[in-house]
Amino acid sequence: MLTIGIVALQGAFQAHQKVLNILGVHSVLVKDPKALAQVDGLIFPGGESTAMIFLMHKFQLWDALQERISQIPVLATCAGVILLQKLSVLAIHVQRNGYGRQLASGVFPLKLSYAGQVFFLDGFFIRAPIIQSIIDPGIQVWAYHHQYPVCIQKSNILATTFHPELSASAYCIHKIFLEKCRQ
Amino acid sequence: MHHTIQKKVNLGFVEMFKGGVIMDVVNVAQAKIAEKSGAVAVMALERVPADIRKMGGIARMSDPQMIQEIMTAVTIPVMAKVRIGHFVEAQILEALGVDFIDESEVLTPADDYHIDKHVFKVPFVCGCTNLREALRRISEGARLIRTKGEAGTGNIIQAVHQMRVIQKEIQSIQKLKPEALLSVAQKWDVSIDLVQYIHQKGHLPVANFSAGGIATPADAALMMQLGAQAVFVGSGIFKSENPEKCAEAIVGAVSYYHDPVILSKLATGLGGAMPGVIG
Repeated sequence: MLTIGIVALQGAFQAHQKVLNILGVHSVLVKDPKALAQVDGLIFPGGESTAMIFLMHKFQLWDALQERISQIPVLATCAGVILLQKLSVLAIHVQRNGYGRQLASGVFPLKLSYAGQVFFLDGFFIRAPIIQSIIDPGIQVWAYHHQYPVCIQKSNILATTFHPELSASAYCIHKIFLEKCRQ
Repeated sequence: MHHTIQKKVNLGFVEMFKGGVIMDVVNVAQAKIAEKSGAVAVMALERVPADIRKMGGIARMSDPQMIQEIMTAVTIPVMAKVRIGHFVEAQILEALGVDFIDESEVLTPADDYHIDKHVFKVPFVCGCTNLREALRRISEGARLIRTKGEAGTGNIIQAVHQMRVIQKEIQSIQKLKPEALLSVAQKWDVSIDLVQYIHQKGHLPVANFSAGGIATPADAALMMQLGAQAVFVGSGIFKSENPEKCAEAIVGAVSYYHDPVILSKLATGLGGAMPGVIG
């Protein structure tokens, strides 16, 4: 049986777990290195990247995460994108709260292109980061908003600056991620 | 933006705080310590509740300049408090661009009625001591509920009591026959939709955090085990002997609230907690 881990130190882990439940996929909340060994894929939810980085260092998760994400498919959303950049697995320039404060948060229509298919979805951007530029030529961009990449992919890693867990129209992101986990 | 979309965006924002600690801070230096110690947001205010209790007088919205300085100093969300019913203080904070407004009983109330929060774009959190108050605040447009506890005391008893009361009341609503729900809605002056929601789902339609009296990592973990989804810590951190260490330990305790071994390490060697008073 497929088991997906959701990093659950802080943030939108419940919202991701709800989506996985709807999609009929078993998930576990990951808070320690031991749990990492049991999962076939890993989700980094949104939240506050400063808080998550603090907790990962304090509770000896940083190195374990770095090792495990090179082995299994990963889905990172919002703050998770910043984390993957800090973990040196995504070579990108990213600006925290790039759109501004909560009053600038909103839902923007997105067009996502993946493997010859096109998806139209509502992107929830909540104090979202902006990917200002991509350093690694191996990174593919699946969707843009106002010329900035908002959904990127590199080998086993899928990352969105918006929150697919907050809109049923965007569950395709989770489905694509789960496809990778099943392979 | 359309009202229902705004509501979803603000409810989505609340998801980001879960499993986190929101810390009261009175200046930039404290805000930076809070951010460094893993806070998911800071609550900017002029005096922490313990000092409001001690000094007395009328407690009002903070000076916008002080809030603005904190907003510039940290990258995490900044919340600020307005007096109950003082919709102009709320207008000012929204114009300032704060991320969340706390319509708070910690300040001196400005009205017998709460603010109509539906007319604002910025999300609001409100306190409650029981299910009726929670549902009233939600009908007025609150996107997040926190139990009030007893702010500024360092005494956890009210926070615990209120969390239990709300859960007990939710359970009693769930046991009612569907035809009995309307009388509850009428008695409490809340919409039948809200009461039906509680009846069907067994939880509030917005998140429920804990506040008012949390002074130690064990207090924070206690509230999480009792069902809080995150905690507000007011005077507990910056009135303790070693604020930075205390802040870090409470942040850790909220993430690992289920793990007594980790909690025992976090509770060790913190120095004195805030002295506290019997509320």
